Amino acid sequence: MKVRMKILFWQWNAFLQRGMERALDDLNVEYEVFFYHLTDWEKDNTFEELFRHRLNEQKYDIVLSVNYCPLVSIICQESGIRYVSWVYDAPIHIRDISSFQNACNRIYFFDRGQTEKYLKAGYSNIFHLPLAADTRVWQFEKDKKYECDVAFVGQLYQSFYDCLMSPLPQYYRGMTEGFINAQSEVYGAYFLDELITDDFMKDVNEFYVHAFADGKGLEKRQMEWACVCELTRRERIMALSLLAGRYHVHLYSKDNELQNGGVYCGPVEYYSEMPSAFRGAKINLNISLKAIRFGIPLRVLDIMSCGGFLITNFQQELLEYFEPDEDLVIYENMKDLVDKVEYYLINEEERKRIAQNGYGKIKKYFGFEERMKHLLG
Amino acid sequence: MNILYYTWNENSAQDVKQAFERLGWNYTEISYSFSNYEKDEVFEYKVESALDKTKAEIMFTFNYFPIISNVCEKRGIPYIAWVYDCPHLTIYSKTIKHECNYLFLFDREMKKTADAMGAVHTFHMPLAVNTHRLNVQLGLGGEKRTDSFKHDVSFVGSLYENNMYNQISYLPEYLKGYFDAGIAAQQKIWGYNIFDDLLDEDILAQAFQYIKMEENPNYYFTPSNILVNMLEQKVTSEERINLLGKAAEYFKLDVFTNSDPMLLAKGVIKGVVSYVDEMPQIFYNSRINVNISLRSITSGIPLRCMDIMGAGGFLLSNYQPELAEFFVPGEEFVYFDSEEDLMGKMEYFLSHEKERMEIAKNGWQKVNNGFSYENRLAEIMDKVFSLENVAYE
Repeated sequence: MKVRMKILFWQWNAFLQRGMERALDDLNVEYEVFFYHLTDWEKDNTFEELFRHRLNEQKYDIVLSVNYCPLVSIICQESGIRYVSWVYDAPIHIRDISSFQNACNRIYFFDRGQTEKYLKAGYSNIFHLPLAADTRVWQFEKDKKYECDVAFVGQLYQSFYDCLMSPLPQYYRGMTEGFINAQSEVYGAYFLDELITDDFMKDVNEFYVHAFADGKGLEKRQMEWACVCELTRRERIMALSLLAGRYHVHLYSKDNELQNGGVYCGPVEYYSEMPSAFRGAKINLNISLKAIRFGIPLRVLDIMSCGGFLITNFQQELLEYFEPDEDLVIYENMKDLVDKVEYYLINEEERKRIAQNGYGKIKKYFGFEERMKHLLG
Repeated sequence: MNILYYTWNENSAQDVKQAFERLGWNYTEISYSFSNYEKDEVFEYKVESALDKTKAEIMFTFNYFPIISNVCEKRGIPYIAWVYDCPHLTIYSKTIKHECNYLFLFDREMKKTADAMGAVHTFHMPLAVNTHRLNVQLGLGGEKRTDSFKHDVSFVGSLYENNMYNQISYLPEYLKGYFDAGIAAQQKIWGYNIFDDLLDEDILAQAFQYIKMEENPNYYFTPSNILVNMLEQKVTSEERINLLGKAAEYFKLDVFTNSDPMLLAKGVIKGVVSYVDEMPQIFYNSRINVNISLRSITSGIPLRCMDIMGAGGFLLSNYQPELAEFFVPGEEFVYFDSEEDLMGKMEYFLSHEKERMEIAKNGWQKVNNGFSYENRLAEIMDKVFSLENVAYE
């Protein structure tokens, strides 16, 4: 890049970091890494001290991170350093987002829905930037153990929903179940966050303050998260059960809950094993976390950048880059998923062509270099 | 042409009769009461006698009456039913399959329902207004209208607080919560009915332990159809009370209804107005007229919207697919898609008088060029006669 700048890259255990570092190297951008694993992103005295010290000790133009950390923002604001964050969580797991308003922030969300939500709430310095993939970071091994018809890599969100329901009287249980079902019926619009109102939280917290040891009750975002996980879990289990009864299905996950046949294969390591799992499967499945309103989930890019053939649920932003049935395949409901899996298992040539097209699109439009230029520009 | 017109004292009776006259069509009006929608021998005899006496070639009603269809089927007389209510349970009647029936439905989704039920002649037909009457009554179409208004924001219609759902005496707490969630969710979404999917077999089985519904062998509808309708009516009620309650916080709102005055802030509810004499005056004299459709109307243009635009009123309506199809949003009417949007647009249009009056004028113009009873009735007769293979004068 033309302008000389120096960057402090705060890292934690985030997937995107490897690709980002490679791109910074390719662009000849000077950066230093500050690694610190935060358990509480909103309070950690040791981190604050170390980080503040680092910023005082050396001169940086930009602090960069994956996901947004309020502590980093507050310290950057004090020191007058720009803080660029690239968020790949939906929803974000932060209790207090008031630091969004700090002038130092440039917050990039991968999901246009979240970008719009926060702009509408009156925050500026909020932008949209899709995620990226680096085809060079993957390691492949050819092993028969990865061969299957359909593979799914991801959590089943072993649920804390039941625990949250048990202290509630029947009325609120019915209501929460109604919220979840309403959201799962409505295709292409996320409104769970509007259904869970402050009044609803006030009502249920009358029971939670007595039920939980800390006596604090539940925050709205925690309730929303529980519902999102439950909803996603039901959809993933439903899809896997339907397919496992018919085809040779591999589940790569820390959660072992396959019923109806199917092979539980345990979790895969992101760089060294996951790529082989994608390549070994004739069909790879993506079932997005429901809270991602429009954006392209990282899993989609993971699969396609490994050359895997992808069948995914609909996400609006997919259509901005990909042609359905040319670069990837989109299912509209469970029946459609089963039909499409059946079709593509038979039509190998078509599958290969689509996977190859998808891979080409990823190389062309989803490189980290362009993204880093955008973030630092 | 000889038309036998059965009227049940619907609001549009005067309007359609004037249109028949302007079109130069002969009609005879009858109005008998019946004891049962399917069978009433005295009623049937009276209708048959009227057919004989008038030598009518066509039967016409607003909405659909199975008992009249029975008579027409027997006599081989085409029966035109122009349906403007939704839901309209009689279209689920098994008589819907009669050859004689010509069903004109104002809502495309209803047409699909009638088709699925096996109806043979079904047409989509938007509703009409009596433009002649309104133009004379309000002095429309002449010089530029004055910019004095009696009301800021008006709403004419029921709040449905006595809806069937509110009459259910007991439901277990879990079901109540489940339905309340659906009622809340439906209010966030227009143009899509979530209850069809939300009420799975399990929920229905539980519900019917507490809500007793008898199946009628003469009808195709199921208890679940009825439950969905009940819930939609409840949604409409909640929605009207919520949206109007919110509007009353920020704006000068007048609601004309026979609903309980306690449902909205003191002084907002003004009592009921007459359809022909008073309602058009309200629409004409209000800066903004709000329409909040019955939730069972998922696609069509409710009569209320036509009434408002025909009276030269500015229409601010919830989104209805057919409203946006036949009228240009932002030019002939304005729609809202959420509570926030409704409040924002009320504020904007109260302070943008020129733009608002322009839109009202355009809407009125459009209604006058194609939504009069004469326009619609001519279309209806065209369709019937082209299928009956008979020429009409």
